[in-house]
This record gives sequence, C-alpha cells and structure tokens, in this order.
Amino acid sequence: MPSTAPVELDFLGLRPAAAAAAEDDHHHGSSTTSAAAAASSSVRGMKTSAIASIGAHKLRRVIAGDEATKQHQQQQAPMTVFYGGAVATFDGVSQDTAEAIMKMAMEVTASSGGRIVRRDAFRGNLTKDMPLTRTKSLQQFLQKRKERLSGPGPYLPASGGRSSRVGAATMTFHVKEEAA
Amino acid sequence: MGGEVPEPRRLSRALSFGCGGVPEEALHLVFGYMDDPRDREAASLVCRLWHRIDALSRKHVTVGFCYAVEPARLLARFPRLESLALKGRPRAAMYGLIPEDFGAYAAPWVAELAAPLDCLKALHLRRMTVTDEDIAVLVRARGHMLQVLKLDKCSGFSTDALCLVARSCRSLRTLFLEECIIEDEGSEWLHELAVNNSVLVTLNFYMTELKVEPADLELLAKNCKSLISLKMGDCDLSDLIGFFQTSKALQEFAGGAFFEVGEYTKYEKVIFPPRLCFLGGLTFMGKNEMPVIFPYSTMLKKLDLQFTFLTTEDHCQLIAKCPNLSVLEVRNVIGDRGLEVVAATCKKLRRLRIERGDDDPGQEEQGGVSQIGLTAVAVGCRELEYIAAYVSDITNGALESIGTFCKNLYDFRLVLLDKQKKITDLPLDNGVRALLRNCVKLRRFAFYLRPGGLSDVGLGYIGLYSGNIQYMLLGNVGESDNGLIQFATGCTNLRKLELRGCCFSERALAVAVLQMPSLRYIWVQGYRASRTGQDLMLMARPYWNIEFAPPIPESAYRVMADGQPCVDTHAQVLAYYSLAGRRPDCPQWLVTLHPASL
Repeated sequence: MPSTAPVELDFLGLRPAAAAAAEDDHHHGSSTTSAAAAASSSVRGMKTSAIASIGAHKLRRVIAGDEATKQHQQQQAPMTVFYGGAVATFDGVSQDTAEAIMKMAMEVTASSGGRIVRRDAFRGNLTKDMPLTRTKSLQQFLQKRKERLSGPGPYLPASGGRSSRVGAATMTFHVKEEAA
Repeated sequence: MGGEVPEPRRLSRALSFGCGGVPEEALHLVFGYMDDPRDREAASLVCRLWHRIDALSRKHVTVGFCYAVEPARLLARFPRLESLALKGRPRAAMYGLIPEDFGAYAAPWVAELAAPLDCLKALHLRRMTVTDEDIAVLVRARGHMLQVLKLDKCSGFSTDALCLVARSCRSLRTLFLEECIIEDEGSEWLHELAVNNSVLVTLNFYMTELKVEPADLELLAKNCKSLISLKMGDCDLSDLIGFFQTSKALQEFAGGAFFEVGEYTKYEKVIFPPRLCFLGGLTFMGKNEMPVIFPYSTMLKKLDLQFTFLTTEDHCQLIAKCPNLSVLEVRNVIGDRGLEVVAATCKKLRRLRIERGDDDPGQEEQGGVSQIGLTAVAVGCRELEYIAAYVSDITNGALESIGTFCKNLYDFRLVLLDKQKKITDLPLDNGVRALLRNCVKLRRFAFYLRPGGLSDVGLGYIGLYSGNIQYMLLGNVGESDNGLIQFATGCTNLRKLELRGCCFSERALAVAVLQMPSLRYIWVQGYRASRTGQDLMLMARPYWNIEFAPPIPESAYRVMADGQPCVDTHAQVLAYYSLAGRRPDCPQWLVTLHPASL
C-alpha cells in the first residue's frame, strides 16, 4: 500500500525516531489524562474522505504519542472531528497533536484523491486476511468488538466493569455514528 | 448419474411388476419411501413407467447450482414438487471473494415456477439475489400455501418485501433470513407478522442488521404459541424479559446482546423460557454476564459463543457446566485448555466449530487451537459427526487420533492459520491418509493449509482414500501438476470441488476434471492462470459450462453485496454441468469459454 507511506511518515515526524520505536512497542493502552480543559476545538472545512481514510488504530497511535511529551503538554482539550456522518471525539489532545493531525490530513488530501486513499485502506485491511478470510458476520462482530474495546460506545457509559474486563487499558476516544 | 441399469432378468420382472401384478398406486407408495436422490435417479432409469412415477411422486428437489438447469425443464420433469431448494453464488461469496454482480438471480425461478407448481409449500434459496419484486411474485402466486420460506445468505430485498410476506402468508411456519443483507425500512414487518400469523414455529433473522421492537416480539410470542425457535439480531437482552416470559414453548434462542456490561443487576432479571436448550448470539457476553445462563447450562444442547467476550478461562468455566452439549460453536480464544474441558465434559458432542478470532484479549499466551486441543476432543468426544476448526498448529498425530476415535465423522474441515511461523509437523501426508482411511462415513472434507502443508504424495492419498466424499475444499495443497492428477485419479465419487491457492496449471486442472467421473462442479481460485484461459478448453465436453474470470489488475474496483470492496484479485474458474447451456446473464468480467470462441 504505497499510498499509506506518507501517513506513517507523518507519525514518525511527531517525535525522535528512537522514542517513536519505543513508543510503538508499548502503546497497547494509554491512560486517560485527568486534565480536561473546558475548551474544545473542532475541525472545519476539512475534506471528509481524508479523515475517513485514517484507521482508528492510527489515530490511537497519535494519542499514544502524546505520552512522550506529557511533561511538556500545553493545554489539553477534547478534539472533535466530523466526517462522513460520523463524529469522533478524542480526549486530551494537545494543541501540537491536533495541528499534526490536521496537517497530515491536508497532506493526504493534497497528494491523492481521498477516494483512492480510502479504497486502498479498505483493500489493505482486507488483503491482510487473504487468503484466509472470515465469514462476513464474524468480520462484522470483530469490527464491533474493536469499536467497543476502543472506548465507550453509544450504549456504553464509562464504568468500572469495562475497565476490569478490558484490562489495564483505558481508551481515550470514542466514535459515534450519526444518522446521515 | 449414479445407479446401474438392471440386468435384463430383473428388468423383465420389474416390468411385470408394473404391468400385470401390482397397481400403479402401489408403486407410488413404494417410491414414497425412497428418499435418497441417487436412489431416485436409479429407479427412474428402469423404464418409462418408473420414470413417470418418480416424476409425479418426487416431493423435494435441490438444485445444487441455479445455472445447472432451466426452471421450465425442472417444472416439466417434477410437476408436483412440494419443496424446492436452490443454490446460487459459489460458496466463496461468504468470504467476500465473489462480486455482487455475479448473478444467481431468483427472478427467473420465481417467475416460471411460483404459479405452476401447485403443490409448492417450501422454498429455500441460498446465496441468491432476491428482489422485492421476486418476493411479491412469489407471494401473489403461493402466499396462501407457503409454509417454509428460507432465504439463506441472500441479498437484494428489503423489509418492504417482508411486510408483504407477513401480511399474506398466514400459514408460514418457518421464516429463515439468516445472514441475509436486507435493506431495513423499519420494523413494521415484524408487527405485521405478529398480528397476522398464529402458526409460526421458527423465526430467524440472525446476523442480519434488522432492528425490531421488543413489544412486537412479545406480541408474536402471545399469538404464536407454537414458536419454538427465535434467532434475531442484536437487541439488549434486558429488553427481552417480557418476550421470554411470554414464549413458554421456546427451545432455541440466538441473538440479543449485553450492551451495558458492568451492570449485572440489569441482566439478573433475564429469565429464559423453561424448555430452552439452544443458546447463541449473546453478543458481548463477558465473565460478569455469564451467570445469566448458569441456571440453564445443564439443559443446553447447543451453544454458540462466537460473538461473546469470553476469555479462555471463562470458556473453561462455562463449558464445564454444560455436560449435555451436542453442538458447540466458539472462536479459537477457547484455546487448547478449553478444548480439554470440552473433551472431559461433553460426551454427547456431535458438532464442533472453532472459528478464527482476532487476537482476543484474554486469549492465552500461545493462543489458539492446536493439535493438543484437537487430540483431546478426538479422544474425549467420540460421537463427533462434524468438526470445523481453524488451528494455529497441527500434527499428523492429531489427524491420526481423529481417524482412530471419530468413526462417525461425516464432515471435517480444517484451516491451518498462517500466523504461526513454525508448524510442528509438516507435511501432513500421513495424518490425512489415516483420517480418510478410518473415517469411512466422511462426505465432506475441507483442508486448507499453507504451501508445504501437503505434498503430492499426500494429495494422492486424499484422492485414493476419498471414498464417498462428495464435496471437497482444498487450499495450498500439492507441489506440482502431478499431485493434482494423482488426486483426481482416485476421486470416483467427488461431485463438487473447490481449490484455492494452488500451484497447478490450467492444463492439469483440465486433465483432472476429465478424470473425475462424478464431478459436476468445480471452482478454482489461485492457480497458474493464463490471460485467456485457453488451456481450460481441454476440459470442454457436452453440457459442460466453463466460466473464466481473468486476473484483475490491482487498480480495478468491484463491490460486493454489502458495499465492501471485493478482495479478489486472482483468476477464478467456475465450471459445471448444465442442461441449460450458457448463461444468458453473464457479467462483463466473466468470460465463457466454449469451442466456438477459439
């Protein structure tokens, strides 16, 4: 998937290479930052397909990268992204991180049509499973499970039970589908 | 075709049986006891009278592939059918390998058969494209008589069609929609079903995305005292408490979800009906929610845990309480340890399915299922008839154990996952030989490995010991064309073959097809394909259709039924016997090969 390389480069650019490697090895979970500033920022005017092409996993990685700069963090605030009828709200995003995400999204949009990126992303995800694909119903379940493990879903208020079951990890963002 | 022409002496006796001694009505009665389609085929070849009696007394026909025969021809041959089953898209469609515009349309069948088949009460369509209009035609013609409607993994229709079914088919006892892709225009269809139907026994919209109102389910339970089986989509289990209280006769339930984990008090109140013996779905059930089903665990005969959040340890705890299971479906998070509990506990197990999960949290370090678990199950659960397992590791010894202990095995499917680098014991030639030699009742066999998993010698064994196997799926097997030809030489009873990811040439495929006398359908993907498929022509023969999907450039973009991109980029071949000749509705990307095209 050559078109995803620029995306990866942007991630690496967030921090020194050595720290990035170490960070990637340990980003299984990130703790919720207690600081939650009242202010929130929203991204407007961004082409939706570019954001849609970014997998939730990559976004989590961006958040995890925030750990390395925690002692230097400026004001942290939730970041809400609107795209394709969905709303993604990320807790505890530093301004630097938010700017990096926006820059990355714009670069992806500029370098190629969003549709192509999205298409390749889909194919990439599915191609990894080749030739051993699952039935569609099981794929759907695993996708739902991933979404749930990623944080509170539309039905799931934060609760201790969730944390104890998922382990130490506490996710830092949730995705909510809105009716188109 | 099957069956031998009787010797002249017996033929003479048969004729006198029909003409002089026994009335035709008696022959009708005798034929009524012949259920096996192959016995029927043989009997119908005896003489014209027997052929006609078979035609008039045949109640059920399965058309294994919808392009194998024309509707009009089927009608002429079997005018008094009560039950018809049709299969459409290749099985690979379940895994996203067949584009939506492949075809397999129900329209010609419904248009030509719904009205003239006066006795038709049951219709079963699998992997077909069914439109609202098709269902409308069916309902107009047969609505008053329809008792069983099964749309299995079909696509193309909406809940509007279901509304029509619900209003018009008041004798419907079975409505089966499992894994269909249905446009959801609202839940009115279920309300209509509840209001208009009082004889429903089975309702299944499992693994669809249809949303329904719990109140309509309660109404259905109130009006249909006969409801025994409900399989539905995700709906919070706490909203079904009223339904469970009302449906006293319910024995099978699948679906429901635990959306608010950590709040066990909410689900504490869930009380299943007293005769419940099948449970499935229970999406997101975790350790904290498991106790909901503990009171029923000793009664459970079927349990489907594919969509739960259970760890290996949770599986062990739950299954240890279920000694009467005959059907178990899990993901591989159950692990070898869980299978050891199955082996120690579930002595009546007949069907076991181990699906492939995805790095489950709570899965143990080594993860997944291997020869350890399979061997334990083979030794401990000797009544097994069906095993389907995705495994991380496997040995010849494990396959030998299955062959030694599972004498009743009818259907065996194994997929060796490619995540683990080092597999203990490859190739699996001797293991597969032992399994096939000992499991003489085997009718279906699937063996999906990785390159090096089975040598040409092993592939030859599969052919040699294929016995009565009628369906095979083989993946990444063999080393050369010679292996395939050795395999084909041994397969005398194989009717349907699917091959994936193999190294065979088109010429070898063609030679193999001609070697297998019973073969009537073959689907191949991942072979040494040419751009035009010309060597496939070597398998040309009367009534044999050959369809070739050339290799697709990476940039092409095709969509499957549910809007996901089609992941298939390899060439595919589909070849099958057909009395109908070439398909009239081939999509552009499918090339039909026939002598005239050269």
